[in-house]
Amino acid sequence: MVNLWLSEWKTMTRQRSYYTFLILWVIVFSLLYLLEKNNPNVTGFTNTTGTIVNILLYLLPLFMMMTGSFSIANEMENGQWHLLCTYPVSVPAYLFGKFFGLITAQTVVFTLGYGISMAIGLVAGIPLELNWLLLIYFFSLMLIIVFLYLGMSIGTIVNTRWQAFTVSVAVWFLLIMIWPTALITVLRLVPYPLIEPLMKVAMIVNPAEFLRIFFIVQWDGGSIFGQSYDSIVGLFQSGTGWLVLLIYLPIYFGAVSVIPLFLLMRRRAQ
Amino acid sequence: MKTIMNLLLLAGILTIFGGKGAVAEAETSLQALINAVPEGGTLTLKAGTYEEPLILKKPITLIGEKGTFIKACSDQPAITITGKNVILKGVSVIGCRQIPAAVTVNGRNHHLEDLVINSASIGIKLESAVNSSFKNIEISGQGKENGIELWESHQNAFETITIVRVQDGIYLENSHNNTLLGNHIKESRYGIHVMFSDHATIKKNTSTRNVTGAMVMETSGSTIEDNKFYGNNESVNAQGMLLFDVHDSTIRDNMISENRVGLFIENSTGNEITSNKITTNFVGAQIMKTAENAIEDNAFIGNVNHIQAIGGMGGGTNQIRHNYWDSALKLDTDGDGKSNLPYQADPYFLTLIKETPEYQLFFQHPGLILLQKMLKSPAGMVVTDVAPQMEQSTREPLESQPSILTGALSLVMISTSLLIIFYGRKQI
Repeated sequence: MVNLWLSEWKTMTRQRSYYTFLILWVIVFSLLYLLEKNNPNVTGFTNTTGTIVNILLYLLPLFMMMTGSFSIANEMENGQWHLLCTYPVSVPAYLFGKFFGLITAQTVVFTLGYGISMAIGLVAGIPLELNWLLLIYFFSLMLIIVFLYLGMSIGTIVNTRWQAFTVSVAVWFLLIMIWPTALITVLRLVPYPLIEPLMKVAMIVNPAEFLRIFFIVQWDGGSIFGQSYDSIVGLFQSGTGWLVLLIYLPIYFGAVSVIPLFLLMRRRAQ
Repeated sequence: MKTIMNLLLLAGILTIFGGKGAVAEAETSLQALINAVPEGGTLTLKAGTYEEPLILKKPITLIGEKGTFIKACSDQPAITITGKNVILKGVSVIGCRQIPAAVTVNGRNHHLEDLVINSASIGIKLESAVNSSFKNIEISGQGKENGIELWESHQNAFETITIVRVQDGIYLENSHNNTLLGNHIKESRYGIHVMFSDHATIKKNTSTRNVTGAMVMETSGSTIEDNKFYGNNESVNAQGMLLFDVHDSTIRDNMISENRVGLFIENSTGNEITSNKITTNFVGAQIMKTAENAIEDNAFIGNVNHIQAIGGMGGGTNQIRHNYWDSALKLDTDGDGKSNLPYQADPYFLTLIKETPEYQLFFQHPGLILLQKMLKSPAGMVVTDVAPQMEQSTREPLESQPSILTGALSLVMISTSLLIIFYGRKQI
């Protein structure tokens, strides 16, 4: 698994496309920080925070799902997977080795881009608050990790890179873009008292929603969600809030893992 | 025993002005001493703790030395003030839950100054008190009762009063022409709560970390000016300032910041809401069923959502213009300092959550862009500022101090990731 991890990581750093991510993050964050130069205190849940959260939610899940799904679909397509099958590598070792390799590559390039943007922001004289910066950073890391894994799972389902691309975009569109519209449409069909519990279930099912709400609560913005979510906001805000995230993520990974492990094992057997 | 000792001490320093002669004999109770003070006289209390309820009903002055405590745990207020021209200064009051109020005031022309009140009960209760003034008072409670309560009390002035952890900081009911100046209220339910009280003047107050900074209801002809309402954002019902059934009032130059909803206006008409700074709230202003208000020259900066309005906005009876919106597209072709492009805010989200409050979870959701297109409100519902301000009129210089910690973090991030990338590329 360690070998797979390192090899994945090594291949990534040697691809030129990998460094386009760096340029992307530097441009995105520097522009966002510079745009806010004239605004008062860049801290807490403000317009700036809202905008950054939304841009991250547009970009990160899509890119990470594409990266994740391509990395598997590519090996299926070019025969590397069949080659690997001749070696004594177990399916979980393959999956998680690749996963950790991708996480390392993406978090490192994101960290670098984020660090450079912070430096640019500081040089430009924008008062950036440390705690606020760290929360945005952690929010991005969580999105990277969760959606890379989701992307890899998509990669195991599809056969070609083209399919990987379409499915990734479709999932992104469902989980991010059309999520409120879709939920509202569906919830119109259920009796009113069911709306609240179903909204909560939906929040747990969609990791982007879970992370978005979790971090908005960390920015002290939880009260905007209203009475129905008071208990959830209270839980996230309390000392056990981060523990909830730590429990949520493994459960989520476990639940998602069922499909790729099953499919890979079946493919290997073929 | 302690009380008697204190009384003996007190007798020693008892001074009476305006009286014919000095009476300085040890009495059995403080109340008896007070009763002995002639009209216009002054009684100075020696430092110590007095555990008896006091009644001041004559025009006298009662001054406590530093460290004078009056403690009340009976069914009586610690201090009852009636009649007229009573002056009370320099006393600390400690009250228990069962007393009706730490200090009750009625009558007229009283003056209370430099008091510290720490009580689980109401701090100061005014019933039919007129023309009295209150200054430099600190009130702290346990969040169950109001700090200052006014009933049918008119023309009173409250100045530089600090109130912490009470239910409502200053509560006015059926009390007209009162002035609140430079008070500071925090960690309570409502900072300032006005009910059925007209012509209130609320100036230079600060209300922070409450459920609602100022709850102004059923009033007309009031002035709310130069106050700071910020950080009222913990509760799901939090607002900076709420105006309900407010008419012909002036709301000017207030700073409303970091609240859940900055300014909430409902059922209100004929108000002038001008030159307020509404910044970094989750929702800047929420307006429902209002008409004929002028909302002008305000600055909306950094709010997650600037303004939402539904109901009664049709016909454009509210005059919304010349506000500064930081997110607006601005273009000034004729050089009058006003943009020729109107600023519009579609209240679709408010319409949505009005029907189903559960959908508040979608606040600022990235997918709302699609939803907005589907739920587009009719033109009459959209809040429109016909000529937004090009430049923010009252801009304070930003203090920008580059933080060393942030700089260090950025350096650590850059160097660590560069090292890891370097290692990744070199490794065989």
